[in-house]
Amino acid sequence: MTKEEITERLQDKFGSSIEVAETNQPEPYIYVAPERYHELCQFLYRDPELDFDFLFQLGGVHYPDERSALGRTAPAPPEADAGRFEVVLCLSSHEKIHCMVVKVKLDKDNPEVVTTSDIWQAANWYEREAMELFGIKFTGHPDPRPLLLYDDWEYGFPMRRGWTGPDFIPMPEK
Amino acid sequence: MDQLIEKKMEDLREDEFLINMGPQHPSTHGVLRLMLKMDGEFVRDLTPYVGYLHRSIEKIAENRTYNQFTPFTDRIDYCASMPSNQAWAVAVEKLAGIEVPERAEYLRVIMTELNRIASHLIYLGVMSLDLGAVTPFLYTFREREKVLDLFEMTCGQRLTYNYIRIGGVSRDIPSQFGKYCFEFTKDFRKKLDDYEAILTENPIFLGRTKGVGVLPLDIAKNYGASGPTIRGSNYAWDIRKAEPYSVYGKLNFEIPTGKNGDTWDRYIVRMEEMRQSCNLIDEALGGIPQSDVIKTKLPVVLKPPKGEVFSRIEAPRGEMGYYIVSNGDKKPYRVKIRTASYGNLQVLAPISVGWKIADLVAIFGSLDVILPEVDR
Amino acid sequence: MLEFDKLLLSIYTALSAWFVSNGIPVIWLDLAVMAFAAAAVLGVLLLAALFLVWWERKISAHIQDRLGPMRTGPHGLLQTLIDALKLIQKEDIVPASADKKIYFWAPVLAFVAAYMAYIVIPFGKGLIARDLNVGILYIIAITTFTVISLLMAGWGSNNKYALLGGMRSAAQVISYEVPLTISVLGAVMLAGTMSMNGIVEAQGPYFWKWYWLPQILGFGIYFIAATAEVNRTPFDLPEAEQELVAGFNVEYSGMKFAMFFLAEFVNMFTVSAIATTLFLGGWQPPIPGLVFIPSWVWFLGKTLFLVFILMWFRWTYPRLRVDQLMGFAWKFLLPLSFVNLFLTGLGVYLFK
Repeated sequence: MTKEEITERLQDKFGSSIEVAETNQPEPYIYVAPERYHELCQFLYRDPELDFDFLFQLGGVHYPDERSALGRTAPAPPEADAGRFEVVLCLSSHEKIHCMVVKVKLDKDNPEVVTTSDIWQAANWYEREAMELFGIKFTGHPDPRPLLLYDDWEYGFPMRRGWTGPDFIPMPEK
Repeated sequence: MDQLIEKKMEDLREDEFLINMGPQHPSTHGVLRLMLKMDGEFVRDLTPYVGYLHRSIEKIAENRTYNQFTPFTDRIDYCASMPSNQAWAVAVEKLAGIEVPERAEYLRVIMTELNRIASHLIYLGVMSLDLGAVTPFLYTFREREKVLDLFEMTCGQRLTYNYIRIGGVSRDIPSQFGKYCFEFTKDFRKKLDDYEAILTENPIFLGRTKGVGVLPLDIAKNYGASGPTIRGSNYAWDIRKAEPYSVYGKLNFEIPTGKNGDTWDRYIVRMEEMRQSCNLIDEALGGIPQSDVIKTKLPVVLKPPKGEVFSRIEAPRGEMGYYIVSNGDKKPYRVKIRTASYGNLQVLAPISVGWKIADLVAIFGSLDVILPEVDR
Repeated sequence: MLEFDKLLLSIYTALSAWFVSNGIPVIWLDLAVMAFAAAAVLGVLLLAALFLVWWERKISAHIQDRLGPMRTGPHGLLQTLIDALKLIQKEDIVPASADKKIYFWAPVLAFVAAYMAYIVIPFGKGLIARDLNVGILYIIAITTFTVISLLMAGWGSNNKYALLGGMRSAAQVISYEVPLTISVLGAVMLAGTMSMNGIVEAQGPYFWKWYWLPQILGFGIYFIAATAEVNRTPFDLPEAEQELVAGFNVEYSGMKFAMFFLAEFVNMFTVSAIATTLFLGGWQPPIPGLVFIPSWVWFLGKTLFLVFILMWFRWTYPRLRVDQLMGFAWKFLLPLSFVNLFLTGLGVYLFK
């Protein structure tokens, strides 16, 4: 299915809960509201036309105070510049050979969203990584232990922008 | 971590015990800790602990320019450095809309396929070493020396090449490369037949690998396995054929698949892939266009437009790709690296439960996991 | 020409005459002769161990397309000696929670068991330390001692891996002893005697009459079972580095480790020597015309050939998993060895 067809199908089903981002990439980039995130993922996985059975990657992004890098179809309300977290899913389908990107915007101070590891088991480790590196909570995750950092790590969430650790030396600006 | 161990120890029955295949172990390919719950010889539960090789490459990427980051991509998977470079180059080129000259594309294909052979040779050596046949390890490394000589001839490096740059490649191949390369592929096909003669029909090897660690296709897809791991389960999925990048669309090659998804099938798939790589190299070398341009002219400090991109290629171990967020600056805003072994390692827990510890070693060898890829 | 039997016999008769003429009871001479024989056997054993370690390294190197030790002595011949000297200097680390007595005696027992089998092996014409008339039975009994030493090593180290390794090897050795013993019985039935020298002489001086031909099945079974007895690949799961980090000898270092290591090579030599004696005619030349080459040269040549085959196996085959190993012994080798025994008995009845 082409980008337009996927977008159309999702807009038919989810209407106003999703926003399509303007981009010149061949895949659709869809923003979804956190409340309907799990439902959207279920739909993407189960729908026979879309059939997104492969979670390529799931990552977190931290925007402390910047606008999203992509243009948006609706004018941004001013609070959007207060900073946010995003969870980005890159999905692909083996049978239909199409890809798409789903993004969820989360609150800056208390980023929390439902886990998708019951839909794609691959999400399990990706979410653990996002939990320890960004501090994003995934409710309902079966195994919320840290993945990469060591046990007594107590220096915060390293991948957040502007993080400094005890021995962290920033690159000199040139 | 200790809480998990304590919890597991509470649920232990009387005849079970917890054993650690610790971070230092002659068998695990990299630094991986596996906590096994064993019932005699049988593995009842398996928990991998990763993160011993975490080098925070994603954080480093936020402080380097796009060109400065290319050497870091070599070290993500050092056994297959060329495809790692290529994944980064393809992602940035997709983001910034850069065209790569055709000679550079052919050179990229040749180097990536040579590196695929080198990486699968490591797999072959280490797999047979894990099973007890020490000699093929020495033989495969002898073949690998020839490949590394070819690489050294081209870019001066043997392991981490920094060869495939954004916009092209860094150097053209010297004049004697073609002759050596053709000799190598011709000789290598015969050597592959020798290695098959030692291992493939050997009853002991068959006994250790046939039927062991069957990976059902739905588990593979759901857990994110890719590459030869999923092709062993009778599924012909290869990004080079499904979403061709570079000049793979013009070249003839086949995708080998296994029938049952057991360890033996994954071994056969990789052996056959080495042959297909030989064919690809011969074809690419034969059809390479004569040209002087091997790299598009780019500004010294590359500033791609604002946007996001997600791209992927077929590395020897599976699908490798990048998700880059750029805000128009000379440094990327966020780089998320997706490596093949990340998905492949997650498959280990479901498929090795119920097998013996000797089988666990064979299954883990057949997944061909490199830990630096998992930890980045 | 270089046969020692007549020389030794003449020395003994001269010395005993001297003893009698001086009124000293001959028993002291006999004791001195026994001590000398034991020491000579020990010397042969240590030399064999040293040589075999070097030989294994060279063979493995050449199979793997490399050279092996080349620098210590011509072609690395002194390598093993230097390694032994190095190991003697190492600190003897004993795990704190190990059972000290058992931990200490395990390698000693392994070496002693390996050594005791050499008393009845005929190294040449008349070169046998003691020709017991139950020679082969004695050897079978002695080789069982190694099981005890493996279990002691596994238990005494106080380590899960060592215990798993020790139990696995004990199970393996015990299982493969049964087909080994039964296949040996075939040769004993053909020879009619259990004495090792008697079996050698019963085979006759022609190589087509040696027992490898009528007992081809027994020879095969014996050799495979012997590979498993000495824990060599494809049956070397107890020492598999990749899985259990060297198995039962993981906690041993320095000289104790060297004892286990040497015991393995000595055992290899022992089983090859027994195979030579039982099936390949022992110290006899293939045709009587070649008798000018001394008998011990023939014996060494045949034994080293079999050792070479054992080493060749190691560097070619992957290893069997433990259940496959046990299944192979009990479900395949054992019935086959019974078939061999039956056929041998039938043959002896019909043709004698």
